[in-house]
Amino acid sequence: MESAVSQRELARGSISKSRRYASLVPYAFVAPAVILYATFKLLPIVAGLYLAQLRWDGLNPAEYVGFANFSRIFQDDLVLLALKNNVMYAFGTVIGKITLSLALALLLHQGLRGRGFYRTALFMPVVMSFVVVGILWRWMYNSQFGLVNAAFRALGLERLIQNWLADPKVALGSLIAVDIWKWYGFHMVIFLAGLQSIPYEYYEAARIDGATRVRQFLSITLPLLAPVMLVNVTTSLMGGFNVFDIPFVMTEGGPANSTLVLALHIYLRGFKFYRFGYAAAMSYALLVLVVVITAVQLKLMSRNLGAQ
Amino acid sequence: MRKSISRRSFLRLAGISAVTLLAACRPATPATSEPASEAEPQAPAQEEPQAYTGKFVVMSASAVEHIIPLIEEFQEKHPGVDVDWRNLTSERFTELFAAAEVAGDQIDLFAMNGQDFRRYAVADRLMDLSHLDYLDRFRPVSVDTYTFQGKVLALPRGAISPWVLFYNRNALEAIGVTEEISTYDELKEIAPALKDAGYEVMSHEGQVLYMWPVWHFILHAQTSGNTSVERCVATLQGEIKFTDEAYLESFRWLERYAKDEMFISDVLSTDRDGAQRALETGRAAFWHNWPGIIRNYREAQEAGEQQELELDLMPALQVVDGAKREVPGGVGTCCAIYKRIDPVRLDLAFDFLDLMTSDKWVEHAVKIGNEAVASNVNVEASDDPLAIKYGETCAPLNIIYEDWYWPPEITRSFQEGEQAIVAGTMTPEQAAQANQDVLDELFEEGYEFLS
Repeated sequence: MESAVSQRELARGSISKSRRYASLVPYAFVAPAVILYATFKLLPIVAGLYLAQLRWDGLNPAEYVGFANFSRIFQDDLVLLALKNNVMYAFGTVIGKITLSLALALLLHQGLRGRGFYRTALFMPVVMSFVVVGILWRWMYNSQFGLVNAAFRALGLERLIQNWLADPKVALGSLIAVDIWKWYGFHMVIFLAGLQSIPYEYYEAARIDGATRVRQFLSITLPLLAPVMLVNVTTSLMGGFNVFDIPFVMTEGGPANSTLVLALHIYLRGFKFYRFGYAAAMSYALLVLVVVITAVQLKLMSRNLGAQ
Repeated sequence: MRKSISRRSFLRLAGISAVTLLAACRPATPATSEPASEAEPQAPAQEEPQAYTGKFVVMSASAVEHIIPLIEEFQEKHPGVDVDWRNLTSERFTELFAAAEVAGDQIDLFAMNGQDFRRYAVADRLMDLSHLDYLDRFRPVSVDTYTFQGKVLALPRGAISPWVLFYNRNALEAIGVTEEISTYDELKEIAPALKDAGYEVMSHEGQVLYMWPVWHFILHAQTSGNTSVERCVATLQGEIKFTDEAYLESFRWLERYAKDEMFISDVLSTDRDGAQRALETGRAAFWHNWPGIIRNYREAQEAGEQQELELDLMPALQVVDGAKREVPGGVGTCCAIYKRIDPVRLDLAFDFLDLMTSDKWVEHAVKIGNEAVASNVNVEASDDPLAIKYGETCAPLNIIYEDWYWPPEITRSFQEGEQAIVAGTMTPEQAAQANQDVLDELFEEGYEFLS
């Protein structure tokens, strides 16, 4: 009798042991990814907070300065200028990308011949490297032998010829146009996916009711695309505030700081002036700014979604 | 009883693993190892020291191609030594060096640009080389450049190559000018005729921010009565201000160049290649540059290209009566020993330094670059007529770049300010004040200029 009990206990014990091991298996599978993420993402974020409280030039011993680096942000005139440029850049790119990509998505959603080719061709800039795009457009914008001015000349539109990257008044706009060109394909594909998810019957019913194409767009397409619009606007807005590559490659923030954006300002302070602590502090400030703006935008847009 | 691991325990475990992993990855050599002179010897005291075999790391601002024969000779002399020539590139030298040092990478020798010398000298990263018995192989001016607080901390290597004004003789001949012009007024006088003949006046890579201060160096040399370097040091020591008349006048001259439309029309979006092409293709008549382009020009001539260009050169234009037309420059590259080098590689480092700066290898370097004046006394540079003219008429007018003394914040402020003056978004007064504001801020933070 006793031995039967102990055998049952033993069996139960081994079952619970194997269950315990089984419960560990999923964790073992995700462990490499978690460890890598913790090491290369979370740890630097935490370490960066500490770095933001130091004055360190990369060579001499670091000095702890508390929140001085953060308070300094408010006294830095260039931060304000860069922020203003970022706001203009973000709004310019969001409006441009969303309008263009939606228009193209609507076109490609029609039964167009060679649709696959157009989709691929329009998506191409997305897969190109930022550096390639920057250099390519720098040449295209060249006021003497660039393609843009040459095209205007050929079309007899001489009054539109500009010093695209040399004139502080138009340089930021020129970069915005490049950003739009680089990314509209990405947003277009997302819009296309959204358009394909709208049931055809809605349009059929609307047509029977006598709705015009514009009315169908305003009352069916646009409202039902709202969730996709939310994704597109959010990613585009965040990209607009985090932009670095295009101004870095094309203008280095010039002429006369007219294309200086926050990420570039941070890079310069960190890697050119060796103010790693201050650069880290500004990075956190930028993070907070992007989070706040995105949260506000998500709140506003989801309220509209809820109302619909 | 079922016992499963909680999420919290798992995350804790993952955190501990990450920290352990990081600790395991820590380099064996600490980043802040003691200077070689003070460190303990690595080999056991009683045994005969073994010749070092393994990696020998040179942190360089340039590519390895031109130096491969030198490395081969060195490796032949030291069997088992593998020279690791790391090209951090000129633009990213300081940031990549900082990353390497913090990571505890092996660092033995510097082969850097002159503009970075001061950063490492001030930070006490360079070994004193004053005791070397071959310092007389260099021209005194080139050794002075790398002397800091009375100690020679780096050795010059290569050419003394100040910026000069290159011009296209074809352009001047096209408008009937056969004599070399020498003043700004003369330039202004011939500018309309040049434009009528299809030439713009002055090429410049205005899109590249760091090229703008060259204009200040050239102009300030004259507006300061040829005391620009002394005034630069005095300014950084707080004795004079960036808003002083000589600084302002230098900016006013730059503004005059822009307002008189002396620069090519898209100067602010022209990069280096674009600026060079403007001269080569006959679009612009003048271009400030260092003599490296002489070689390109000769090669292009041999290939039957650049028909529009007949290259000639002169020092900067005269803007202030009676002032010397000084040209900014220096021995662009230097070599130094990392002060925290592992003592087992110290002898190797001295040997490599000796070889790199020897007449044989300096000659090799200047011949490749078609340079005019070498850092070494006994090295004859190029026999190209343009290089000879350069060596005779321009090199003696050499003054050190002011930005070799400036902290990076000041350099950037000058770059932005000068670009803004040309763009018309800042006045000379505003740009000068911006420079002074940056310096004042640095002083407030405790900046001190060590001379």
